[in-house]
Amino acid sequence: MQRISVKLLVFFALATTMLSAQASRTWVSGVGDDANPCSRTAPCKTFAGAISKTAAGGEIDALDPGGFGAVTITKAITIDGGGGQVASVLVAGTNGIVVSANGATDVVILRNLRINGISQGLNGIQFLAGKNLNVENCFIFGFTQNGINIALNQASPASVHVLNTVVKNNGGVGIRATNAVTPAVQVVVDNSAVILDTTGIEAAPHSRVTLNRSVVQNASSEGLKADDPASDAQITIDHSDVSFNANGITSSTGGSVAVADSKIALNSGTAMNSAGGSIASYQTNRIHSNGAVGTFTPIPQL
Amino acid sequence: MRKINAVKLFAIVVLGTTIMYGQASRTWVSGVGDDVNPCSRTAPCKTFAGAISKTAAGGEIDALDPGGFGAVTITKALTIDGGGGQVASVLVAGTNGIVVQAGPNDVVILRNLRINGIGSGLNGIRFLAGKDLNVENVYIFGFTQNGIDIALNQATKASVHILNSVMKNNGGVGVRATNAVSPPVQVMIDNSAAILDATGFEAAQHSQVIVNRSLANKASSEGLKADDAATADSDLSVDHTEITDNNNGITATAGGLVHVGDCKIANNSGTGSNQAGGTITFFTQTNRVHSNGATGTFGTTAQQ
Repeated sequence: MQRISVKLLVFFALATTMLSAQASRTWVSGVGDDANPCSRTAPCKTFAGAISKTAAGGEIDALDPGGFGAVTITKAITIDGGGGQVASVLVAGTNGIVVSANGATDVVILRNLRINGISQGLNGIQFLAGKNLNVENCFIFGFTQNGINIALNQASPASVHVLNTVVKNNGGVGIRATNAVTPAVQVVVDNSAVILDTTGIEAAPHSRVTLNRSVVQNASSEGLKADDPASDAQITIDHSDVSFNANGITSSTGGSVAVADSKIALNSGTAMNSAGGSIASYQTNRIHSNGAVGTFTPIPQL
Repeated sequence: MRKINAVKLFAIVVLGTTIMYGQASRTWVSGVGDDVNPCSRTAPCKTFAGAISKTAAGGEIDALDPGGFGAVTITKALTIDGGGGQVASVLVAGTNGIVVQAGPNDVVILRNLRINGIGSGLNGIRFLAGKDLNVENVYIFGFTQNGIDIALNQATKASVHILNSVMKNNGGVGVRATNAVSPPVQVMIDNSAAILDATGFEAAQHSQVIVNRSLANKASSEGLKADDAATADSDLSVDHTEITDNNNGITATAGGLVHVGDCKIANNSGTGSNQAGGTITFFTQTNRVHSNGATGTFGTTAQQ
């Protein structure tokens, strides 16, 4: 009888774990514990600890300020830091958040997070597979490679939306987009700033990048760059500021860029650097005080 | 013997602990913290000045809850994050709020702060040395001198990015930029407002200032100003910005160079575009200029 009770206990313990695994919403806290079920009253301590207890399609929310550590995401999930508090991922020597989800179906949403590489982390966010990645109100800084590294290898369509976000002081590219195969990954950067990286934003093979109402500044190499030997890299720029870089916009072989209502100024090199690729201007851009204006093709607005 | 051991042990523990604190990549301050604490998540400090010595270079000080965290001088790469959804404030009288005097490779990030001079503080933020200063979601008000005073004297490149911030009711300039030597300091002001200062934004000697999607309003003297009589190396570039209700809208004095595109310059009591020894260039027919004391003069250049 006593032994049966023990079995019962084990059964309940497992059942509870399974129940936890079903939770649509889990919580992390700066004073939580990953041994907890990640509930509102018994929160976990890390995103990595919470994710196994969060159902696919569910969300992990920050209950209070904290450093919640690196995490790898392999399913549809939302992580929300709360916005009015410091919800942070600080890493040294590794990636911050890796998304390697189902390419055909999974939407991953990251909101209200700080991701700090303290000049030692590799990539802030690494997007390897998934249907869609949303990065909103994030501050991504101090990585040795890329701030947001979109490096897909999938035949299903993928998109990325970067909204109200700052990507700063990264050794590689602020935001780099590529898919190893077609179709091109579609990336929108809106109301964001990409500052003080080696290259600000790069559309690499099989990518379409749209930049709107944003700032790309102080890149030590190119502010924006499109390059793809297979001629499938495109950048369109509207209402944006591309200044204080070495070159403003560079289009190398296979790159295609269109620019409208933007400022390209005070770049020490060439503003419109057609270096094997094409740059089209809607003749609405304010270009001044660069090392050289460079060359571009004027096209009319309609 | 026993006594010596105990003393030694105590010294090792205390020193060892101090060294460990010195290594923390992240420290915390709280409105009810104590600076004798290690500034950890569960034992936070009370002030930025108390936390900074326990924070590693490149690391960050974060606000755990609302509080007044006091003036601080920053001499290394550092991030201070007030959180955003709470009052994380520096309130000072008679001194500067935050002084940044860091190394030539140091990036300093200030986010989600309120800096209040209560009518007697000197400058809200003073940037004296460093590679880059980031000011984001910061409200700076009530100083007798400048809201953000960029006053460098360095031969290495420096940049400043002011995003989503308000500089208000300062006796001097909302944001003033200068480097005593070349190269010019590069300053970006995006989605921000300078209101009710003597001058809103000033590009002084050796500076390149870009103002984008912003507001320069109610300056008792100049809304925007570029001046570098000594070396003619001040460049001010303004887009998508409203320059209204000032005395003069935009003033370029000797050595000042200004470009203006897609802006509103209206309801300034003096001169809208005030070329007073410097050069102001409008991107042709992209600006909305009306209801000023005088329109003033400007050159034009075509958009491309």
